[in-house]
Amino acid sequence: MDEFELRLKNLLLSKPSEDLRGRIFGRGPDRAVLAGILRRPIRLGWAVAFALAIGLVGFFSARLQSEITAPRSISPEVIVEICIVESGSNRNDFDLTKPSTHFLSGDLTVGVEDRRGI
Amino acid sequence: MKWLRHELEKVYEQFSRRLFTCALAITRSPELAEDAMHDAFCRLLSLKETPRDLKVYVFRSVRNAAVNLVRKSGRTIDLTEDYIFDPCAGPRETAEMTEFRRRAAEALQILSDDERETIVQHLYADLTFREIAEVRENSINTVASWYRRGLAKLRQQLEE
Repeated sequence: MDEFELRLKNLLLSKPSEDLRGRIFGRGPDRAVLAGILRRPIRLGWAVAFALAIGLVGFFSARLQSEITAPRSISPEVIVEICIVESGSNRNDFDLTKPSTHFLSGDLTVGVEDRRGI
Repeated sequence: MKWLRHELEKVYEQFSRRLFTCALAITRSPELAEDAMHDAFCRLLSLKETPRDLKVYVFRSVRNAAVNLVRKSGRTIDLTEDYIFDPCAGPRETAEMTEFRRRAAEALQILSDDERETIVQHLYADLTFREIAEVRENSINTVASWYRRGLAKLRQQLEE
């Protein structure tokens, strides 16, 4: 190829319109838009802030989700054990191993709650 | 055929400007050239088998579509139209280059159809003489002869 041919060859050619590709293959413009977004320069600070925000949102949503979906059947029940003894003397009125002439007066309230599962 | 579609997209990415220029050399109208490319690629997308030499096959398809469209349209061609080269060549183009581009576009008009098409296919589409011969279904010698004659005419016009 001589100098004249090279000079001719270096002339810039016309090109088809941008939407021709889309008309032929159907999804050209979408890809072009996506490529434009991907090619856009992103500042490091913005990228870090975006990643942090995504992380926080993910963390809190996961936590909220676990609170909502925790099954109640496996939650431990509240266990309360109360034993009240009221006696007017120093004697052990509950010692039933010996004969006694003393009897408790009034009402005795006894409650028992199951503590299984602790 | 997903694979063929993918290959055609690659061919389009790589050769769209050259295919368009080749179609322009025949239609001399950007609209018709785009229509020719559209018609050819739509037909190619419906092929059942992948052609042996896809690049040559695509160039031949676009050429045939362009020839058919010109035949159907029967439109009169404006011979002074600067259609092949990009008129918006950018700020770095000197006045001398602009003038050369204008004169080259004019000079291309005085060539015969075969000579002009061969010059465009070889110089601007980077097709070898063998590939041009396959696209045009002619012999390599005929193609080379069209190219030599066309180039001589261009040289005479542009260097005088």
